[in-house]
Amino acid sequence: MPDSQNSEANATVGEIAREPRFDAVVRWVEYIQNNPPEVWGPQQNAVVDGQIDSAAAVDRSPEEIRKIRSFADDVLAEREESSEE
Amino acid sequence: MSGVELTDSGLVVDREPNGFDELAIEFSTLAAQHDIDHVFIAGYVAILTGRSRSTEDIDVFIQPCSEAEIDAFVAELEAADYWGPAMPLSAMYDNLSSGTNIWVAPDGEMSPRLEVKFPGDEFDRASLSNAISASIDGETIPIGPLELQIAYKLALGGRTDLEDAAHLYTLFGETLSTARLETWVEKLGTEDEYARLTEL
Repeated sequence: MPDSQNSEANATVGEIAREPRFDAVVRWVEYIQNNPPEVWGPQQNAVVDGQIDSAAAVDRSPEEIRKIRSFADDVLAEREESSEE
Repeated sequence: MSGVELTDSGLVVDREPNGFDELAIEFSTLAAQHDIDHVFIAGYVAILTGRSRSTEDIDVFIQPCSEAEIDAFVAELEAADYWGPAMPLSAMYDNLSSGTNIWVAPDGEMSPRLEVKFPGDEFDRASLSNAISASIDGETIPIGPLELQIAYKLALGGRTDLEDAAHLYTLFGETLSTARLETWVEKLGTEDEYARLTEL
């Protein structure tokens, strides 16, 4: 159930998720370069401010945030270790 | 077009400020009032320059200060309605001097927040000592040199980090100092990642 367009037929779900989306980044930079800030600025700020609003609506404690980060760090470290073996 | 330009006098951003910009500007104003040298780095620099993503915190280094200076700064932050979501701001000096960070956010809020640190290594110190000015909405804040931000993001190597590096590199292109960028790339041992970046 991928929602990304950079899927590769032989890649695993984890590999797809970790692969940088350079094409999307470059397309956005081209958009910035070809349009005035009045056009791209509000779009970018909608992403940034949207997350701030969402975060404000979910009242997570610092401890919960640390647990979430710790989980992600542990999984990534384990994957890195297994890929080195 | 664009509205984001790297000039001889620094970065000029010509879009409306978002919530992160407003937080960075206010913190920077308070730090400057106490003559505390500081620099914004990492993901916020990418966002300031137009990267369409968000983050939970704004990383900022402040120069190592005495306990009295930090306490005075904390008093100013609290007077301006800031708090420490993870730890009271009164613990700022202990946290910073022991090499950890401290969160600073508008009173009662968890996000957006600043993650304040003392510089910990030569790259952190280089960001602080080689900071450039970034202007947005008539205000000026110090940010880490873009060449170092790119190389450091390549070294971190996560997906978001690599995308941030790609954003900065492709947006600023020839206005970056190739010599400075390649010096940082070499110091951080990210030649392979840099080679891929130059092919974008």
